[in-house]
Amino acid sequence: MMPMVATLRMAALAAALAGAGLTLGVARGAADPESGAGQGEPQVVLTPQAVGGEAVPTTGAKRAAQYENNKDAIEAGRGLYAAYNCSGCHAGGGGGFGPALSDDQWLYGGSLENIVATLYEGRPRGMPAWRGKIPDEQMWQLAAYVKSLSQPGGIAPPL
Amino acid sequence: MRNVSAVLALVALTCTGQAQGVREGTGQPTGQGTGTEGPSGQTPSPEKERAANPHVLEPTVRPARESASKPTLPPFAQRADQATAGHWTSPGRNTALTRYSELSEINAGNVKTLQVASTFSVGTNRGQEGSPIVVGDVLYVVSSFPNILYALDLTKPGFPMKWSYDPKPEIASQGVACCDVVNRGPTYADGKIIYNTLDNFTVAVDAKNGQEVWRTKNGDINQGQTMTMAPLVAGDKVIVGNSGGELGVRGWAKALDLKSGKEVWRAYTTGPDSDVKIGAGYKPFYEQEKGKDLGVTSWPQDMWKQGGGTVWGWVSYDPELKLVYYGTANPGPWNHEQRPGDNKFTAGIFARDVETGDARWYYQYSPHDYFDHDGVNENVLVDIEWQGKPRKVLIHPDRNGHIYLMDRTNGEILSAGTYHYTNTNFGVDLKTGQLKHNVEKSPKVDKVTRDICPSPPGAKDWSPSAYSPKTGFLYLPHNNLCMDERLSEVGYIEGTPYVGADVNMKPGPGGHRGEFTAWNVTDGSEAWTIRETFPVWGGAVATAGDLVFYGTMDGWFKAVDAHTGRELWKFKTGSGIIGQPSTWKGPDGHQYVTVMDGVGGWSGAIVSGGLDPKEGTAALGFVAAMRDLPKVTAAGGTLYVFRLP
Repeated sequence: MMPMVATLRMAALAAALAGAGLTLGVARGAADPESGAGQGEPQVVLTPQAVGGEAVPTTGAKRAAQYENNKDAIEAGRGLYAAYNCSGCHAGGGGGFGPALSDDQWLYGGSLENIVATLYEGRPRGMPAWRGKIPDEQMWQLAAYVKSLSQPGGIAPPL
Repeated sequence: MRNVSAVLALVALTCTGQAQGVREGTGQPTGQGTGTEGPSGQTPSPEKERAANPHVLEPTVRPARESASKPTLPPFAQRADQATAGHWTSPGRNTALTRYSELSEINAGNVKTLQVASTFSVGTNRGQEGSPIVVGDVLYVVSSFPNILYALDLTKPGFPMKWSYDPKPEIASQGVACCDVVNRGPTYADGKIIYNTLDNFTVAVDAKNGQEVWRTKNGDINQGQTMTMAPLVAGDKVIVGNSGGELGVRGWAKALDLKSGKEVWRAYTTGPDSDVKIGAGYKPFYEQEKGKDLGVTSWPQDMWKQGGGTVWGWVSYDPELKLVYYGTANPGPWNHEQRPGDNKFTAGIFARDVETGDARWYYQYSPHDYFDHDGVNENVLVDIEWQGKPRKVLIHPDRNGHIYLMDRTNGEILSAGTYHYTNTNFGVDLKTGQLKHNVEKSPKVDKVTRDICPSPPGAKDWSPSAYSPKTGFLYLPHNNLCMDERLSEVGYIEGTPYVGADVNMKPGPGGHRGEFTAWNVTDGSEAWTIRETFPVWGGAVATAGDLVFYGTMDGWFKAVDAHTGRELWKFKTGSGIIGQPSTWKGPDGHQYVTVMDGVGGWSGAIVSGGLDPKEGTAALGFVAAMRDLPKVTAAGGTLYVFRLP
């Protein structure tokens, strides 16, 4: 059984999504003009990267500080990671269909803002764009969890 | 662009049930293992395993025994081999998929002097599962994604590039490929080189000049579909099928017109009889395959719509019976508790009329598949004398541990011998055709079932075997892997994985992970087995020179004695090998052997995809068994051509 708190949180998530009338189903390849930003969503700018790969966040730094290393955000993100099937492609963090998240390499920048940008916009080699499908608050919770995977104790023990 | 959405209810299902993949506790880093231990740090020993599970099945071994009566190549295959003498025009050599060459210039007596004649980089470094083919004076080879086709001129020193063709597949297709971005090779017919691209096109290219003749779109990556299999040309048709059984893709096979690429028929694996092309001509041998709309009724409501059963393996064709044969993949999701029923027509074999696609017979190797045991492995067509009578048969080494010898006219099983250590079933009931499942090894939701053998890639995965009529042996590249598994509820989100299982694979009894086995087809016994450190993930070729060629994931290309399995020659390639060898006679009249290196595939994704060795469930649990692979090989993609001095 899952801990009760997680069950409640996920039930709340489902209710929130239902209320928003959101549906799931992801798109790859050319952008879908009908899946633009929802009302009240902040604009997340695709993060430019400096020469040599250093990430230069342009937006969201204050927001990131609220979530990074925040235990509650990470726990919420853990449930969402399963619910949105992130685990399907990235496994427990080690990767598979998609790249590893638990190693020390960040293809598109490793700041929380970078990760949120990746979630919103997708990435060309197959990462779907989740804009309009995952509420903003959950984007940051997911990013907090993803970031935690590469830190000591971040991945689950073996079966 | 198609943007079909799954409804929220499915997310709710995921959330309110036992959420998939949710792990309790904070966890500890596991450290990087050596790969020779399981996730629990232990390699199962054969003795302990047998004591713990008295029900295990193991092969009957009769060392190097050759039967007096050996299966022969069917007359149509012999004629095809004569017509293409010295060439290698499709990955399986002919439509019987024998992968046998009559050439003997390179033989057991002189192979020790075999040396490199030329090399060629295919320009990509993801897993290379393809087969080089040779037509006339030209060698053709297809790279892993983005599936570039190269033509090499065999008349000139160094075999330089003549032309290349880039199909420009969608970059995003890489994100829906379950098990590395591989391609299993091109085929030749009617002046055209024909192959599939990862983003679901079948392309036909003029063999002379590399100009595209036709291109047909078969599927949509947004539904999770990809294509990785090698097409088979059957008369005036090209038979192709889809991949994506780990993404809830509904499987199908198609016939395209060889001249135009236009679809002639399409047969689904699941759904109503009209979609599966089951009608009056469908006469399966066994009772459990009979009934109306089993592709709907053997599933919970509507689950057949994302039920898997893709067709990503090998197709064979008997032009006298006018039948094509192919296997269907695992049902989706892997979590079997979510899909009570037999889940027809997944994890089995279809025989279909080549003209119409109508099913003639079907047999399910693994009803209600528990373990991701796809039925897509090759069906090698041979003729045999069976209990005093000539029979037209097919040989099928399945993931479930058994080699099926079946009458290919009607689907009757003549024998089903165990070729590898198996504790998931008690064998096949030859009277009913039923696989006798071992419930003790059924994976369960939220509970870990340990030491399940064989694991999801099975006792043998796609890696194609070769058959030699000289020895009567089928030469099998295969695996020695077990696993621990825990299931979890999973909701269907279109275009994303639909699995619901955490897997940790580990070496099987003995601690090695791969084997190369010679199987006596007539009496169903193992003649010899070579143990390899890693799964043997590429193909095999047998020759009249009493040789068998295969490659290993740690980068050895080997020639062994076809009779005894004794190693006669080996060559160290730059990267590990998961490709299919071929052999042919060059314009200079001499025999050559070719293979591509380039480690990857499902088993080698830890290297080609840079996966994290700390996290064993990566690559659907394969990483747990392959943690040491990055220490012995790196990614690559080079074609090697060998000849005698």
